Amino acid sequence: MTAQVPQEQQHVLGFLPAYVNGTLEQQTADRVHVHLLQCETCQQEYSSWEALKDAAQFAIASAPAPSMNIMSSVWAKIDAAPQKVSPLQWFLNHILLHFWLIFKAQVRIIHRSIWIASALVILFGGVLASIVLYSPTAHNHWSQITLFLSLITTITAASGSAFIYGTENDASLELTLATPTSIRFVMLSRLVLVVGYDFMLSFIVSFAVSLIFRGSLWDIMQLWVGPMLLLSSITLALSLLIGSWLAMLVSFILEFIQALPLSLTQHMPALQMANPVTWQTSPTVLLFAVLFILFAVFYAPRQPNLSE
Amino acid sequence: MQTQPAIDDLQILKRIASGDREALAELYSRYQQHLFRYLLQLTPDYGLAEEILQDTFVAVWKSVRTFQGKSSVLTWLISISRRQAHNTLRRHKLPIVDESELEDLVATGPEPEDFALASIARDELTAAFKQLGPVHREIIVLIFIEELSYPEVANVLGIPVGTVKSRLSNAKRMLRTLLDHREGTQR
Repeated sequence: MTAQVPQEQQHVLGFLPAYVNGTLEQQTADRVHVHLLQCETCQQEYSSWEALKDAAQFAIASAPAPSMNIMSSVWAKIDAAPQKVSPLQWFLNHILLHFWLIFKAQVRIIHRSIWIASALVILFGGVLASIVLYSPTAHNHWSQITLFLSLITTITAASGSAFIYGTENDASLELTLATPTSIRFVMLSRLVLVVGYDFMLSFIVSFAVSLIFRGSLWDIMQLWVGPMLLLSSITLALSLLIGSWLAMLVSFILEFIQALPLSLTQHMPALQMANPVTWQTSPTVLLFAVLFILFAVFYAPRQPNLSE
Repeated sequence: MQTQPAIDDLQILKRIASGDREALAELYSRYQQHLFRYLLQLTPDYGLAEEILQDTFVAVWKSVRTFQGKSSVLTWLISISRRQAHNTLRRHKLPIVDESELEDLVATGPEPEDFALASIARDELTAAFKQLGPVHREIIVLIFIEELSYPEVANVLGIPVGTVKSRLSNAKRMLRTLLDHREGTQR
C-alpha cells in the first residue's frame, strides 16, 4: 500500500491495519516500525489489530468449503437456453421495479418529524381554526376559515420540502453515493412523497370543512393546491442554493406577503388574511411550480457537497 | 493504490473471453475459497452462499470482457459476488446489509487502554467476531483475510476510503462492546 509517509512524531494509526498485513511499502513500513518502538498508544493499537486479525483468521479457518459440484451447476446455468423476454416485460421487470423500489425506500429515509409535524399542523390546525374562527354572527367566517386553511397547508408543505434534501438532512448520503442511483430521481421521489402526503392531509381537512360548513370543496382547494405546489417547489430549489433553514424562512415571508397583506382598519394598520388572484390555483402558478421543480431536479447533482 | 492483476490471471481471463471452459474452471479453483468464505460473511446460509458462488461464475463467463484490468482479479471477483449476493438475497427477501448497522462517521483516533484487544483470549475474540453483524465481519474479512487495500475495499463496497477506515474502526469497537457484554453476562 503506498501512502504519504508519516512524520515520526505523529501517530501512525491509519497505517496499522496495512502494517499488520505487511502490505505497506518498505519505506513507510520502516517509519511505522520506528514510531512503534517509541509510542505506547500505537503499540497498543497495533496489538489490538493483530489480535483481531488472528481471531478473524481462526474463525475463517473453520469455514466449510463449497460442494464439489459447483462448476457443474455453473455450466448448467450457462448452457440453459436464455428465456425470451419481450421488451415491455423487460421494461416492467427491470426499469419500473427499480424506480418503484427507490421511490418506496425514500419513505423510511425522509425524516420522521416531517410526517408527524405535517399531520399535527394540518389536521389539528385545520380543526382548531374551524372552531376558533367560526362565529354564527359573522358573515365571513367561511372565507376566514378557508383562507387560514390555505395558509397552513401551503406553509406546511413548503416547510417539509425544505428538509427533504441536502447533506444536512440526508441520512442516506452514504448509500446514495455508494450506488448508481439517480440523485435526481431520489430528490423527485421525496418531493412527491412529502407534497403528496401534505396534499392528502389538506384534502381530508378541506373535505371535512366543506361538509361541516356546506361549502364547495373546490372553492377551498383552489386556494391551496396551486400555492402549495409553487411554494414547495420554490422552497426545494432555494434549499439547494442557500440551505434548508434560509429557504424555509424565505418561503414563510413569501407566503405571509401574499396571504397576510397590511390593510388599514379604522386608520390603523392591520394584517388581514387574503388570497390575491395571482396566489391561487391557475395555469400560470402551476407552470412556475413545474419550472422550479425542473430547476431543482437539474441542479441537484451539481451540488458540491454531493459530488465530493 | 489499486493492485494490478497478475499476468497469469490476465491470461486466464483472456482464455475465458475466447470461450475456453477449462479456463473458467481454473479461475474457479484458484478463487473459490476466497469467495466462499467472503460470501459466508454476508449470509450464514450455506446453500444460499453456494448459489451466489455459482451465479458469480456465470456472471464472470458472461461479462469477462468488461474487466478493464484496473484492479486485481480478486477485487473484481469479490465485487461481482457482492452484487450477486445483493440480487439473490433481495430475491429471497433477506437483508444483505442491515441499514441500522450503518455507522456514523467517527474519528479513527487511538482508543482507551481498556479497549485493547491483545489481552483477550483468542477463543473469546473468535466467538465475538462470529457475533458481529455482516457489515463489520465483511470489512474485517476484506482487510485482514483478503488483505485488500483501503482503496480496493472502497471500490468493492462503493464507499469513500474514509468510510472504509471508520467502518473498520467501528468493527473493532463493536467487537469490544460484544466482549464487554459477554464478560458482563458471565459474571
